[in-house]
Amino acid sequence: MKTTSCWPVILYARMLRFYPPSFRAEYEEEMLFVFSQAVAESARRGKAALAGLFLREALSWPRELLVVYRDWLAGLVNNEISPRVEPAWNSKLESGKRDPMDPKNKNAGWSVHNRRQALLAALPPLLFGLGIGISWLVIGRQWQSISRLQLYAGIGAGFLAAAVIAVGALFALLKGLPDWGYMWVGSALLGFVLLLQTAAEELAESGLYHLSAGGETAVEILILLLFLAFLSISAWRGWQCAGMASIGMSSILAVSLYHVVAVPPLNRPDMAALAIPYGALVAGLVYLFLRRSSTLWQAAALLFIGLVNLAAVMTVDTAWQALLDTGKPFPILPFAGIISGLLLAGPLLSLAGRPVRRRFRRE
Amino acid sequence: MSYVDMSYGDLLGGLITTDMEAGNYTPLTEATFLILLSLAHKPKHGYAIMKDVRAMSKDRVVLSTGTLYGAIRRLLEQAWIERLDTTLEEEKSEASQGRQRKAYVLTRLGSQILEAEIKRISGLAEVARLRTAGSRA
Repeated sequence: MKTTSCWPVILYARMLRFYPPSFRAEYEEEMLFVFSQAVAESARRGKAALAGLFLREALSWPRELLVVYRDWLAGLVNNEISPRVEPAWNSKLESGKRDPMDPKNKNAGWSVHNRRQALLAALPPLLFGLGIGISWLVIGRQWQSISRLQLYAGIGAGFLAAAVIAVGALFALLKGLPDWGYMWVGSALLGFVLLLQTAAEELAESGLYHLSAGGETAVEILILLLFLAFLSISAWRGWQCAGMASIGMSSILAVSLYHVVAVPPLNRPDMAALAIPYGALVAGLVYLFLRRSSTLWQAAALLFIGLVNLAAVMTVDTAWQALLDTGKPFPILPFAGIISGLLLAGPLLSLAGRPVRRRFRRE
Repeated sequence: MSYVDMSYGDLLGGLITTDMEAGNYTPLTEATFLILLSLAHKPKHGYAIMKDVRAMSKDRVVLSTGTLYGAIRRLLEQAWIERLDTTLEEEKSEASQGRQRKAYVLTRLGSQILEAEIKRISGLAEVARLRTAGSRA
C-alpha cells in the first residue's frame, strides 16, 4: 500500500504509534492508507477541507485511543493462561506476542513452553548474578587502591546488568506483558526498590536526604501498592504467571545479598562471586518451571528456588558470623521470611483468588 | 456451504433463529447501523464504507478513520462482519500493482441484526406516522 507522504499523513502515522502494538499490527497500515485516500480527496477540495479532515481525526483520536486501551487492558486482565494446554505453535505465540483483543487467543497456550521464550524468561536472575559477580571480581578486595578504570569497569558491569533488566521489563510492558515478561517486570520492580533504597542511603550519608517521616511512609505505601498491583495482575492471569513475578522479585533480592557481603563492613568480594552460580542455578530452575507442564514439577522447581534463596541468606549470615563476632547478629529470620514470602506471595494470591476469577469469567 | 467453510458469525447467525433473539442486540448506535447498512449489499473496503456512511447520512455522520476502525474492530470481534480474503472486482488492477486493500462483509449474524434494527426503526416510524396523522386529523 502506498501512502501520500504529505504532512497530515506523516503526522497521522505518528498519532497511530500511540495505539497498542496488537492494534497497530492489525490495522495501522490499513488506517494509514484510508487516511491518505481521504487526504488526497480533501486536498482536491481545498485547504479548508484538508484542515477540517485533520481536525476531525485529531478530535476523535484521544477518545478512540482510550477505548482501544480500555478493551486491550480488559483483554489482558481476563486472559488467564492455562498450563495444561499444549503449546500453540503459531507464529504469534512463537514471536511472544499475545493479542488480548483477538478472541482466537483467549485460551491460547502457555506460550513459554516454547524453548526460546523460556530461555528469555529465565535470563534476569542470571544477568543480575553475572552483573554482581563480575563487578566484584573486577573490583576485588582493595577497592580503595585500584585504578579508576578498573573501578568504573566493575561498577559498569553491575549497572549494565541492571539496565538490561530494566529495558527488558519496559519492552515487556510495551509488548502488552507477554508470558516471559512477568519475570522481567518482577525483577525490575524489586531492582527499582533496591535502587531507591541505595540512593536514599547514599544521600543520607552525604547529608542530602531531606524526606520527612511522613514522606517516607507515603513512599513505602506507594511501593507496597505497586507490588500488590503487579502481583494481583499476575495472579489474575494464573498461578504460573504469578509464580514468575514472585521468582523475579525474590531472586533479585536474594542475589543482591551477595553484593551485601562484598561491601563494608563484611568486605568479602570473593564471596560475591557466588552470585554467578546462584544466578545460573535459579535461571535453570526457572527454565524447568516453565518447560514442565506438570504442576508437581513446577511446585518442585519453586521449592528448590526457595531453598537456593535461603542458601544465599545463609551465605551472608556465615560471613557475618565469621567477621563480626561481637556485633549485632545478622537478621537472618526477617530476611529469610521476606525472600520466601515474596516467592510464595504470587502463587498463593492466585490460588486464593481462584473462586473470584471463576465467578468473573462465568459472568 | 459446509460447516467447515462457515465463519464464526455464520455459525452464530445459524443459532439465532428468531427476530426476537437478533433484536436483543438492538438498538444500534447510528454509526454502527450505517456501517452495517453500507455492507448490506456488497463487501467494501474501509474508505468506501467511510464515503458511503457520509453519503447515506447526507453529510450528518462523518466518520474519522480512528472511529471507523474502532467500530470495525468491535464488529469483527462480535463476528457481525468479517474480513474478505479475496480482492474486490473493481480493485483487481490495484492488486496486480501490489496494493491489496482489505474488504469487509456482513456475516449471517450481522445481516440478522441489521434486519432486526431496520424492523425496529420501521416500526417506530410507522407508530410516529400514525400518531402524527391522527393529530393532524
